[in-house]
Amino acid sequence: MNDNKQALYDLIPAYALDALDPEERAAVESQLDTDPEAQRLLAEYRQVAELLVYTAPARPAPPQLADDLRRRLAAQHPRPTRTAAPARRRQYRALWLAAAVVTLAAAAALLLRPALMPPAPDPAQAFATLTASQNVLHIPIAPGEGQEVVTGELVAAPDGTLAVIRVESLPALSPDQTFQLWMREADGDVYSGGLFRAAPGDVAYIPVPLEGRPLDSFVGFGVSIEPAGGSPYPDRPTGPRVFAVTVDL
Amino acid sequence: MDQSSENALLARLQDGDEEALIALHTRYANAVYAVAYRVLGERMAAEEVTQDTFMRLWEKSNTYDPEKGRFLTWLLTIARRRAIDVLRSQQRRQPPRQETFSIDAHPYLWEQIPDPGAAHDLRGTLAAELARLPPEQRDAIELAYFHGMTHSDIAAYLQVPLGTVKTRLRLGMQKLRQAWLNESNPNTDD
Repeated sequence: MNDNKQALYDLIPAYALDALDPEERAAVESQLDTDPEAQRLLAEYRQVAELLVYTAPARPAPPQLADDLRRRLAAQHPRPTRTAAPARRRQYRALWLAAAVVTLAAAAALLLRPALMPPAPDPAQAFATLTASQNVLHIPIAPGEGQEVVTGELVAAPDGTLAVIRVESLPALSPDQTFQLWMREADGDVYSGGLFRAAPGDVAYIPVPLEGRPLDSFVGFGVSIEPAGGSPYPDRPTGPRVFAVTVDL
Repeated sequence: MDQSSENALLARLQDGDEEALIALHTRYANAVYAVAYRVLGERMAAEEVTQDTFMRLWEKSNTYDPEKGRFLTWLLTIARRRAIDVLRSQQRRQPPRQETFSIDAHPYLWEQIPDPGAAHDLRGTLAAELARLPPEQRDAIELAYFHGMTHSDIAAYLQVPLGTVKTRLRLGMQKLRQAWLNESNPNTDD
């Protein structure tokens, strides 16, 4: 195999990941057009790439998504047409049945919505509610290096029903940056708690998604500055730490 | 859900049965959401991608070809691509308001999703092999796969030479492929 061909073969793994820049992509595709061995190799790497999707860490979807899907379906009528003629009669029957089910489900969803999906509490209001309550925990934040002006505290119900961080003097972000909240579990696992922006100088209220778990199932939380869209890694920040909160009950 | 019941649901889905879509959502929403969250790292955007994925399934279910692969893999690939599209649009977008919180604090009920790392499973083998890779090789693969980055993007992001990125990604993928080949055909030693 000559050097040029080998160089193209070396790019096939990246091609399977769609990670080539346009010029190299074109060169690989040209090779693939006429080279069965390159095609075989690509087929193998594509199978590997497809399986990588299963390496995403498990994360349960919020339960209200099923009701939301029903609402989207109900809002989308008429539904897409199908081409299979033998199925048409069955389709009409299914349409009537599904329409009835969706109508009932939508009505039920509307009736049950206040119970199933309470409106998201305003973080500032939630913070005020918490601070007015007894038996809540107050934990001061620890500013990161170079962020000494940042002050604030976490206020949380120990049972995990609500937790909000109030923070002042967050640094200014550039347009291509975001803040990212990190959750560190007691067993050492770290995951993203979400992204947010806040105007510099304002007081920010950051809801901490405890997912109903008691506060002591976490050892701490932190906020970092990340590129827009957040850290590319699910379990670690890439940018500077703005502040941290250590849970030590 | 066994294969026959999944096939039956897909047939009903292609006949326009909304309850089949709901049943598939019940079964696979966690897995789709996990992929979207892996790419986006943020709940609300991941929820939106999850729902988009199922609405796309509703509209395009007849494009799924069972001979080309497993249904769930196809579905998760749609989710990953959609999530990367959203990620790219987020990265292009200017901050829209003075203050925008994209976290919500609802306590959700935790459930278990099927463990893709079950023994004797190619997916589990690959996940284990990925975890064994040197971190720099694993990072290069994950940045490409879950964040849609090219060689150049990764080099700029990690601030390492382009050639280094190419090598890391190639070596990592070669090891994954070898593990996959070994699992698929124990006599293979390419």
